[in-house]
Amino acid sequence: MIARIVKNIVPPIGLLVIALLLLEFVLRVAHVPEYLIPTPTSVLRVFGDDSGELWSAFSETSMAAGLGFLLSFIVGTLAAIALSSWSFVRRAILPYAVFFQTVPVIAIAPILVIWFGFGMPTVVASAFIVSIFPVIASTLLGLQSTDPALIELFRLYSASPMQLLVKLKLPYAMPQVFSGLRIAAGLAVIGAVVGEFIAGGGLGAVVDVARTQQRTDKVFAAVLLSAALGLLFVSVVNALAWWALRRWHASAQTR
Amino acid sequence: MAKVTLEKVAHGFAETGEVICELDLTIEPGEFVSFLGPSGCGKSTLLRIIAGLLKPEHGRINVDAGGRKFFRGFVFQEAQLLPWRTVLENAALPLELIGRPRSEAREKARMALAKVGLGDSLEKYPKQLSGGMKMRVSVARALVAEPSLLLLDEPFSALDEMARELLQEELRRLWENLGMTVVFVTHSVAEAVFLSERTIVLSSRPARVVCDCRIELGRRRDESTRRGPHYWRLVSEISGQLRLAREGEI
Repeated sequence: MIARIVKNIVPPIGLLVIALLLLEFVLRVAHVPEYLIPTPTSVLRVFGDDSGELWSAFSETSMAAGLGFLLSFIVGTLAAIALSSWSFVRRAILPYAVFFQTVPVIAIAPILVIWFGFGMPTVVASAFIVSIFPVIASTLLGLQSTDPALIELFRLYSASPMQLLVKLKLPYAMPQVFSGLRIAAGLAVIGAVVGEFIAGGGLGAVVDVARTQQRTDKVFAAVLLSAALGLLFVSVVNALAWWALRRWHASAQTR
Repeated sequence: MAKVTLEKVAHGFAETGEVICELDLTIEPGEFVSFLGPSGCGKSTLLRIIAGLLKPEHGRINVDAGGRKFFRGFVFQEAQLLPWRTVLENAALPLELIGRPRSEAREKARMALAKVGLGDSLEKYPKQLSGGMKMRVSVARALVAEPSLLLLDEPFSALDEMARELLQEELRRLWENLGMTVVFVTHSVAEAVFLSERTIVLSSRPARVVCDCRIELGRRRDESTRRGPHYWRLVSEISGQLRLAREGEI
C-alpha cells in the first residue's frame, strides 16, 4: 500500500521540484525582470506575506463556485429528467440549449452584472451557467441509455413511471451523471473566476488588482490557487463517484 | 396455471416486414412448451406477445389463469440483473414493484434463491457471479412473484455446456414441482426435447407452425434421460423437421 503510494507520488513530485529549481536558476542567471516572470521563491513568499488576503479570496471563490456547482447539479439533473421524460419538450428545447452553450461566459458576464449587481450573486450565476450544460448532457445521455430489456422487465410488473425513474433509470445513469459532474466541477471554478474579473471579489479580483499593480508574483499565486481549487473540486467529485459506484461499477474498481 | 390462446395472431415490424403469420395455438395449463426455429424467425417476438410486452397487430391473444389475477415471469437471453443491487435485492425486485412490503419481498426472494441453489450468495453483487450463477438469479427473480406463466427467451444460450445442462435439469425440476405453464424459446433441438412436453417447430420468417410434436419422455427427467435411445430418436426426428423448415427459406 505505502509502496504503491510512493511509486505513484514520487515521480510527479520529483519532476515538479526539479522543474522549479531549474526555473529559479534560469530566471536568476538570465536576470528576467520580476514583472515578466516571477521566480518560484518570490511566488512562494507571496503565499506567506499575503496569506490572509489570499485565503479569504480562496474561500470566497470556493463558496461561489461551490454554490454555482450545486445549483447546476440540482437544476441540471431536474432538467435532464424532464427532457428525458417528454420527448416533445426535448425536441423543442435541445437546439436552443446547444446554441446557448456556445455563448462565451465572458460575454454574458457584463449582462449578469446588470441583472445581479456587483459581487457574489453574479459570480454564482456565472459559475452556474458554464457548469450546467455538461450536467444536463451527461445525465440525459445516461437516462436515455437504459437497457431496453430492463425496461421490459419493469413493464412486466406494471412499474409506475416513478419506480422506473428511481429504481432503474437514475441508478443506471449514475456513471454518466458523475462524468458530467466531473467536467462541471472544473468549469464551475473557471466560471466563478471569470465572473469575479467583472463582478469583483475572490481570486478573480486578486488577479485583476495585482495585475494593475504590476505584482506579477501575486497574479501567479492567485492563478495557482484557482488551479488548486479546480483540482480540489474535481477530486471531491471523484471521491463521491468512487464511493457511490464502488460496489458495482467497473470505473470504481481500477483504483 | 395459465392457459394461453392465440387466435390468428400476426405481427410485423417496419424494418423486417411480417414476422408472424396468422398463428393459431393453444397452450394448456401446466404445459411445458418449447418454440424451436431458425434464428430470426420471430420466436422471440411471439414470446413477447405472449408476455404482454408487445401487442400483436392482428388477431387475439388471451392468457387466463382460471379467472384469477396472475403474474408472468420472464427470463431474458442475458441475465439482465441490476448491477447496483445484491443478489437478494435483485430477486426481490418484482415484489417491490408490485408493492409488497419490503420484509415479505426479502423473505420470498430468499426462498426463490434457495430453490435455484443460491441460498448462500445473497449479499454478493452480480459482478462477483459466474454466468451460470447470474442466470440462476434471473430465474429466481422470475419465480419470486409465483407466476402462473413462465416465459424464457433462449436463457441458457450464453452458458458453457456443463452449466447449461445443469440449469436445464434444474428448470425441469422446478416445473415438475411448482406447477406452472412454461413457454421456452430456443434454437437447440436437444434443449427443447429434454425440457418440454411439447415442441413447436416454427418456419423462418414469417413464422408458421411446421410441426407440433409431443415429447413423451416421462414426467421425471434427469441426466439419464439424455442417454436414452428414445431421446435421441426424438432429437433426430425434430432436427429433420427443423431442416425442412430451413430449406423452405433457401
